[in-house]
Amino acid sequence: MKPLVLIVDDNADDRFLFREAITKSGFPAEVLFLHDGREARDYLAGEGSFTDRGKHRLPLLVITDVRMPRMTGIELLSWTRQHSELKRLPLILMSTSKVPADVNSAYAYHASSYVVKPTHFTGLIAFFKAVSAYWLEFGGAADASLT
Amino acid sequence: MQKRRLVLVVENDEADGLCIEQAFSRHSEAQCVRLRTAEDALSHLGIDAQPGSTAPRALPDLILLDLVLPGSSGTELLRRLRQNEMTKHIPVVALTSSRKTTDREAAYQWGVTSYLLKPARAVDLSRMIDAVVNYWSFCEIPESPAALTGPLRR
Repeated sequence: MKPLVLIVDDNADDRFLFREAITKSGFPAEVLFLHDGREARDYLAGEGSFTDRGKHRLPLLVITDVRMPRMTGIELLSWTRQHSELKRLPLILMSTSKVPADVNSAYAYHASSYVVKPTHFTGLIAFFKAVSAYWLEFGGAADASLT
Repeated sequence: MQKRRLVLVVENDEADGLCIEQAFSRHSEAQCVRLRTAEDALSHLGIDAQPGSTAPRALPDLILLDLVLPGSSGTELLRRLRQNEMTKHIPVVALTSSRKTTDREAAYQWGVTSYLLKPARAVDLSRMIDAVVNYWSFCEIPESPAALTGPLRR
């Protein structure tokens, strides 16, 4: 079974571009798009419409927008870090711009990284290739190989 | 590679260290400084004296840390980095051949940013370093407390 990656973004245009870039990058994971931090929190908690863990398995990686209604990416990050099952879940924050205070908050809450969304489509494809190599090929293997 | 990165590599194993340095040499945008022990790293960063002492050197953007080192362990180094105001923000990637869950638990306890298992073959380790350099070129790096001057400093 392919690993699952959650992508959380309230912007429909960005979700469309991510979907296209993921396809073009040959991203070797199943990708589920969610619309804001609250929906992602429900998914990760197995609440609301996501109670069936058989259907809604935990992801290997979460990539989330920072600025979203209802629950921001940093609030989602902070929430995951308070739950033993999720506190080591790799979580990448993506933003349209670099806000130094957000970058510092992100790493203070143990984000896996903070990325400014590439402005060009080719950059976005390159980003998903880089995520694939780092997290899916090398990083994702870590949990499975540990004894 | 979009941004030039200064990467501190703490790796005692000579074969692995050479492989990592060679891999970095292919990436002109990333500069690698390799040290062999936790003590060398603390000294290099200027945090081997009293807690709170200022780091005199340019701080690295990223640290690649082998957890199994002679003398103090990589985990002990990580603890010291996290307890120092000048270095606690620096992303640290554990790059280790340890497959013990206890090592991983300790690394996460002290705020490791990600945990990579070192491949057995040099060719794969080299590819892993390519992946690390390429991935982190997309990532923003937190600014050191000293860099946060003006309105951000309270």
